Amino acid sequence: MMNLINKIFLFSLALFLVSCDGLPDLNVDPDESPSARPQEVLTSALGYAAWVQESRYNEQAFLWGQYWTWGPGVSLGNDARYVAEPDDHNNLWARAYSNALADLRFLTQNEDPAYSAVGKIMTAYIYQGLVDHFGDVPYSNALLGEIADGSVLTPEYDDAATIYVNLIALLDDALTDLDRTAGNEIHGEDLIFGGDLSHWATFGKSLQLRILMRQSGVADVEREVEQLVQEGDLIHNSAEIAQMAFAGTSGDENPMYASMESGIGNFYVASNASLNVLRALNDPRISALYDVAPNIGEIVGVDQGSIDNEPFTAVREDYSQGTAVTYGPGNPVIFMSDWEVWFLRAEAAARFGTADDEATAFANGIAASFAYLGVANPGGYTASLGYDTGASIDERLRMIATQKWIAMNGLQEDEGWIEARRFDTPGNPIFTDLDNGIFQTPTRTALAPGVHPSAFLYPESEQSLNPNSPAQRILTDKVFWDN
Amino acid sequence: MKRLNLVFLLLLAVVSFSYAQRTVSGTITDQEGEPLIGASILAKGTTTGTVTDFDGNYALEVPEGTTELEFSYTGFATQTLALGASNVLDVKMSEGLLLDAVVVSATGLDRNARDVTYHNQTVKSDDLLTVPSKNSLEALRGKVAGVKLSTGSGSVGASTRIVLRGEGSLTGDNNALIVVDGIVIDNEASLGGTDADEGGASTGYADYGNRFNDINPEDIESITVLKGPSATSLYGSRGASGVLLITTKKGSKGGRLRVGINSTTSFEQAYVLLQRQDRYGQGFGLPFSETPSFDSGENWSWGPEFDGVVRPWTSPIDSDGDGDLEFLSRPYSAVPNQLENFFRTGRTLANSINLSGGNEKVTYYASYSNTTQEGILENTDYNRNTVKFASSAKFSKRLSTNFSVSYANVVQNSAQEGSRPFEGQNAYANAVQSPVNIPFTELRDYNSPFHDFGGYYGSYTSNPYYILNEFINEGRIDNFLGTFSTTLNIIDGLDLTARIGTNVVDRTIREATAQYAYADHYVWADNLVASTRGGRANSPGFFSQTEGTNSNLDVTGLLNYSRALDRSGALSLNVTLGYNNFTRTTRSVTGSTVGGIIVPEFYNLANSVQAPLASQSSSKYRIIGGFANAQIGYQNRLFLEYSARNDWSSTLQAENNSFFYQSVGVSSVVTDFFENRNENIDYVKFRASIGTTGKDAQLYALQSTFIGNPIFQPLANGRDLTFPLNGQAGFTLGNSIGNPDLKPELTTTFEIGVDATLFKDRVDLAYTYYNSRHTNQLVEVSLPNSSGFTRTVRNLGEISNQGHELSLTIRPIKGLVKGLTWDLDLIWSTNQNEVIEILDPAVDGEELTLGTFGGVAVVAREGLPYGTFRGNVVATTDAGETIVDAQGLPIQTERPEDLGSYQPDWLGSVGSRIGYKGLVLNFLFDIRQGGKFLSYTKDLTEFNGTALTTVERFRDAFVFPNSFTEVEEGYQVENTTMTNRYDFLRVQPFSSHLIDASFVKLREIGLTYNVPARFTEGIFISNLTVGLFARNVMFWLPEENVWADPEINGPSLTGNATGIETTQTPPSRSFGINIGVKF
Repeated sequence: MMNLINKIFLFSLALFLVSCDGLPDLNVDPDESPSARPQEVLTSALGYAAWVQESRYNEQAFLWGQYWTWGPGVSLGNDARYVAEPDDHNNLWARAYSNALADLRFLTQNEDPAYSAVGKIMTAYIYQGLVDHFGDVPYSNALLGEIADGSVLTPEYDDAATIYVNLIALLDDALTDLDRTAGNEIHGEDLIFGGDLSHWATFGKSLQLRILMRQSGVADVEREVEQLVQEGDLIHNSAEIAQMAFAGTSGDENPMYASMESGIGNFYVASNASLNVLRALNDPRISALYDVAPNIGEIVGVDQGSIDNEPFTAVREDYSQGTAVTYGPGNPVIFMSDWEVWFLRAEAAARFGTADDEATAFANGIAASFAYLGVANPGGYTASLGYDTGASIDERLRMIATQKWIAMNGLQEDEGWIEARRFDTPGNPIFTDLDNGIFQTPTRTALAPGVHPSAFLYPESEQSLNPNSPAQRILTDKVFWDN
Repeated sequence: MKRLNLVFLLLLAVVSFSYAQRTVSGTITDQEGEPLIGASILAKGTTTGTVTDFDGNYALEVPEGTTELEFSYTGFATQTLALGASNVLDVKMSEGLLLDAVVVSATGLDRNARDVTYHNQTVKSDDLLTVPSKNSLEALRGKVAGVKLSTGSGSVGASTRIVLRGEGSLTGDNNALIVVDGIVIDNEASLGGTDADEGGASTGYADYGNRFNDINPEDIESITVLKGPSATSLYGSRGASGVLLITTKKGSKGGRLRVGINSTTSFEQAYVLLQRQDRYGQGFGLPFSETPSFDSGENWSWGPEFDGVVRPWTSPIDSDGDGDLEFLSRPYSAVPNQLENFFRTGRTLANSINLSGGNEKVTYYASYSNTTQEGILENTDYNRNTVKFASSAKFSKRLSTNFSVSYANVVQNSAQEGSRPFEGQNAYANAVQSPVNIPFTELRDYNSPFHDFGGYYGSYTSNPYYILNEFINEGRIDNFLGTFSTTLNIIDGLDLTARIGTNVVDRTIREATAQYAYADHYVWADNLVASTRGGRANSPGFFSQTEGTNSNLDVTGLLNYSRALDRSGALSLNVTLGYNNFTRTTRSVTGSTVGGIIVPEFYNLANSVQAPLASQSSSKYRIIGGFANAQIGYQNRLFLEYSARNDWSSTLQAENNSFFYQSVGVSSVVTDFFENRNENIDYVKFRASIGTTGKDAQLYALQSTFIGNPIFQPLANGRDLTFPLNGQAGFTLGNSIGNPDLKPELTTTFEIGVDATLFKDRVDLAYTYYNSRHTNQLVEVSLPNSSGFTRTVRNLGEISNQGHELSLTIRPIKGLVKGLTWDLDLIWSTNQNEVIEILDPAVDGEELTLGTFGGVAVVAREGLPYGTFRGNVVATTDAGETIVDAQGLPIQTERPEDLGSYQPDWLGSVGSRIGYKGLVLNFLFDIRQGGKFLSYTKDLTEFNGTALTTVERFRDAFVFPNSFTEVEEGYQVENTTMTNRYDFLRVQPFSSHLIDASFVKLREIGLTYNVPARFTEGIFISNLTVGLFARNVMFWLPEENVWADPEINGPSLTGNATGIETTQTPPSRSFGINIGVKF
């Protein structure tokens, strides 16, 4: 009998030892990969970056930049009344930090200088966007949650101006990295330039110009701007536009289009703020930007935020909406355009007297915009504007600001809104002046007349989860470069 | 023919005949002469027997050769009496042996109740089935101390969450482990729906129930609730949140074939707890205008005051093609019982049959059951078929086996729950937010031209009946459970038991959104001006199918040795050594259409506009345990028990994956130490135990990973944005930080208690105090996005749970009136939960967020109960006046504040059973005091103007009372700015939706009549029972709760951020009849 017991014990022990061995090997998730190649991570980062830019920023900015306004059929929303909720931007931060920037960080650490350069340029691009909307944000110890990175789970917030300084340096790093590349490291996974690294260098420098010019009212950037213009390697034609294409089929649609169509569709109509300017300037782009109202047969808009004053019986077909160039499944997401850079150069020439010819740069900006929209005769239009390099700087900035804002309509709405905030100063209230400003005060604004949003609120998720986050902002808090 | 034949086939009648020589009859009573109903009488050495009727009478045809009769009755000593010359044999049976009742121990072996050193409570089949329930977990409500149950929905087949003694794990699974006949079953809830991956919070989810639902309640013999860690040594890590031990029916040795048939029919009506205003109708006004406008397309009820004037309420359409427009009209007034009439009357039909029998060598039990339910929502139904076969055999003196297989098939048509009516998936949320003048009874005909896509009134919603009838949320479950155990008696006192069980759950979930396109429609405005309105959301159609299998294999070996240690037998020893290996494998594959479907109403992946999307997931988990348990008894009245266990888990690194824990307990039946004790003290047992339990980590938490080709933005209506993008694959860094250093979680529990029977069996009392400390907590931490991640799992913190559990049964009139019995059951428990410490240098702020919803976070915070709500509140001055802004609206505090938790102060129940002869009346009240829940229904109805809170002050402009404007820090002036009700409600912090979750519920009333045997004599019926019952008869809620049932929470059913209500289907009140026949 004892023999039997012994056997049973031995058998149990054997079974036990066999099955204990290799237990940790089971704990590998068969559905997820412990590693990834930079190619696929680059695609992922660009996908998320495009979502943030197009569906988060531009979708808000077409309203606050007063290109489009709330149309009939849906009760007036918060953002049409300048009311913000703390959870408006939870999704934006999740995509920007936990996806795009986290993926880009993986790339910046790649030994291949091509991937690290592209990673750094896009990192700078996204951080600039975060600063331009939120001011102080986590930067220097953000994205360091991994144990190997020091387990920084609640990053501190950095001063917005300091982040700007760091972004210039980060882009310098990227350009240095690019100098070490052979040029053929990246291919189709680069959804912006298809692996053309010379375009990335151009984009990086153009981004430096944007970052510098953004603070031109508050910091001394003259020398650096002059140098960039001097070097001349800036986006200067449509082939160099930093943009990402979409197939226009389900799953691969323009993010703004997909987002709006997944709900009740595009119910926004043309804002009179935009129509008034285009009409006053006799701007031929008006027809490229807005369709005629189907029920009326001509372009009809609504004063910003005033749809509730329209007849109750009004329907969407009584008004104009954006054309297919501005809203469509296959439209690209434009990160940076040649017209944007030409207007930056015109402004730099006006402010600092750079190597560029100011009037030419201005005309090139308009021509680039006309070209993209397929509108003829930019020259005649530019001539009609009568840009005078001898006029006062305020007068020239007013003209550049207006043209830049028009050129961003429907394509880079967010850049249009941001630059409107910057160009508009107490001494030169181009947009917000109650009598002559371009912007209209929405009828049911929660802010005072002539007061428009200057920022986003911090996301509620970040406020509740990060004890280091500063006190909540309000909509009129200005970003450091905003006078 | 004298032997019973046994055939191993289901539903095959087994009949026994015996040659009767004589008939013996008599009456069986207790010591006081009370008849004992249902006592067993067995002709010794045969399988022939009978039971007494409710007068205690029996008559048995005794087979030839029988010399003795055996009399037995639960709780009484079994007596064997020799047959004399007389054919009348009256028996007076002795009680007291109740104390020797057998309980199921943690090792799955039967044990004498008196030597158990920890608290355990067993609910018998009869108590579970007093009133039929939709599942056995529901039937436990109010019957066990320290059990907290919450339900995912009032819809058919929904999940039930069960937590014993409060949550002990910060972010792990706090559900009790469910063990059927020694085998751990898979109790995972099956969720589906458009947003199941994210807990269904944002768009919707469908609840296909947890798998315990698949068990036929009639098959359950008893449910034992084990709470302390000394009770969970067999299940180790997995049993750390407590164990529900289910013992199923096996068939008794008592002779002949027994057949039981049970049939229940009941009707369910929605118990709508939401109260809505009935003064203002469809339209819009505030905040845009003080004069409201009528708008027949609105989902808002901010329109004009009701005036009773007949107006059109459907969109004008040309329904007959004559070129003129037609519409339906009704008086502009609130529809009475509007929401109640949104639902239909549900119906449940449950039938079951079981056969059982056996002899000394073999027992068997077979059953079949069918439950068919039609839910209170249209096109929701539930159909469950179960078969079970169990048998035990004793092959020799030394070898015996138990064998059981059961299979359940469930087909369920569900409806989506969740908070977002705009996406058009949750029909009830859609109903909740419709104006109060819309008659649902008419909308039900959703194909009518007045209610289809052209005529339907709403500009922003779809006809909820269209959603219910044309969308598909179908779950099919196949659940197989097989167990086999064999016990070899090696030498006297030494038994070796091997047990193997497998539970395979296969699920197929099909979900479809219909394809539809709206035309522009007409709406009516003020003065009945009609105009067209377009832009209603269209659906390209969507279909997905998930096929998944969870396989669980549970292998146990037990070596049990028991013997007397000395010659007199005063000292006894019992030692158990055990080994357990549990492996769980899951895999599932989901296919879904992309870009819509081509052919409407054809739901197949081949019908996808673009190439369908496939995704798969699988996992494997293993835990191995070795354990030992030793017990020494002295004179069967003093017991000392020690147990130790080591677990090895696959979820931890090799250096951390082994964890050891142990427990020690002592119990003493003190009344046995006194020869001449007070006659009012029948039995008193004290018990005390202390022990630890470990808990391993969740799967795959050790390593950060990349996710291949994710959906990078989920969007409704088939518009998810996904990789590959432009033909390029995308891999994104996962959002969870891997933590290779995880260690097991440890719980230390101390408990003391007393079990007593007093006043000659008139009072039974069980009291337990416990104190648990949960250290090294494995916590899933939500992270700010700026960390680059959204979550991680870490060891941190400590939680304590301490509480009291009391159950008291009083039989106040015992023995006073012949035939009249009255039992009163009182159960009360309280649990104090506190998060003691959150320790991690990487987490500041002594706080963890479990989940957030609309700006209110559910957190674990030092010094506060687990599950505390935190959110901003209305800011006040030092003197308590409300601070308002320039618009006269209250402003919110800058930082969130603590706002109470979802933990109740106490839970209790009062049950009573009054019996006279064969008639039994019972009722059960269930009480919860304290705790809060967050009501999304409140938010939704305040937004759309149907909430009662929207009609205060008749919607007139008002100055917020006792409010001040802060001119500068610390200096305030009285506010005189008028505000309006809409803006006022909209600026309220989301925390204003926190509602007192207390309730009193009259859970059950039942009236059962046991038909006297004399009426059924001669028709082979040994017992006939007819019962009428009602469930959820009445709820009493706090005055502030006009919103929802606090017990229905979602969507994270097994998660911990409960206490959030998102317009789930309400509960139902049911009335039914039950007939039980035994042959």
